[in-house]
Amino acid sequence: MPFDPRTLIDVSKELKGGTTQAHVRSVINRAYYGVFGYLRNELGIYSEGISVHKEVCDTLMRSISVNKKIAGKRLESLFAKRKEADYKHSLTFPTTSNDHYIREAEEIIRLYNTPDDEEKDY
Amino acid sequence: MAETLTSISRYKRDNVLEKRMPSRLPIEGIKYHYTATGALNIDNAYSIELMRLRVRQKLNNQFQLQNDIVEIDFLVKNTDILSVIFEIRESIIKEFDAYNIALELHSESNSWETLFIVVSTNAVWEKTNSFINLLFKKLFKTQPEAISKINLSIAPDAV
Repeated sequence: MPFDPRTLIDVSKELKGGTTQAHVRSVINRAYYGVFGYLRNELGIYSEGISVHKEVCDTLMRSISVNKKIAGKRLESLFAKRKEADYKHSLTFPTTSNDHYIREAEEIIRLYNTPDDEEKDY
Repeated sequence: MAETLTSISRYKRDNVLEKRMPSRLPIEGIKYHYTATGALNIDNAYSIELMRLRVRQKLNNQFQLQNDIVEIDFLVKNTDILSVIFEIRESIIKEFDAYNIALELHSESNSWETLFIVVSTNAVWEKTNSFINLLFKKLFKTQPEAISKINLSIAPDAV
């Protein structure tokens, strides 16, 4: 059975009780890769390298579906946050914000899977 | 070929120029030219400083800038998004308490640059989530070009 990248979001949830910078940065990283990997597979994008992140966001933003476009913008935002978490060591991330990033990842998946006409009220 | 704008009236009566350069940036003394691909290039340091000054005046300290140059220069190259970021700022202030609204340019490469409006707030996730979805829904309809260059980021629980 192929690996389901969404299970990385489950790992984020396991880490969210942690109180160190390593925990919160790992939560953001795993949450991003959980949703990114899932959407990359869904969209059938199999290229590798840095441009694959842009390709996934761009493909979503070019979609006819408004929900998928919004998912693309929010994925881009989570990508930027993941880059900060991984590389900007001078920043301090509040550990109380762990839930925020997990919910962001879950919301992007929900938007992707919700047809526009089923979205009555955000 | 380099040209110099000497007045707004000259700018407006030159139909060809008006078509190539939409009604933005008619600042006296600014030297500019178009590249073979049609991109606008500002020709000298003096002109670039004038452009930066104009953008800073327009921003009027309404946004905190992560860097004093990169965000300004992005706006100099993309003046069409200036009015949109103010529209977004107004929506943010109306909707919830945001104690800081900043601009941060995220640049992966020349082909992937996005200006983030970073909102520091203690608002609950449900509220910011609903706000972001509604805002993007509106912007994809009304500002499809601008939305490709900007994004919104919530900094939760920032103190």
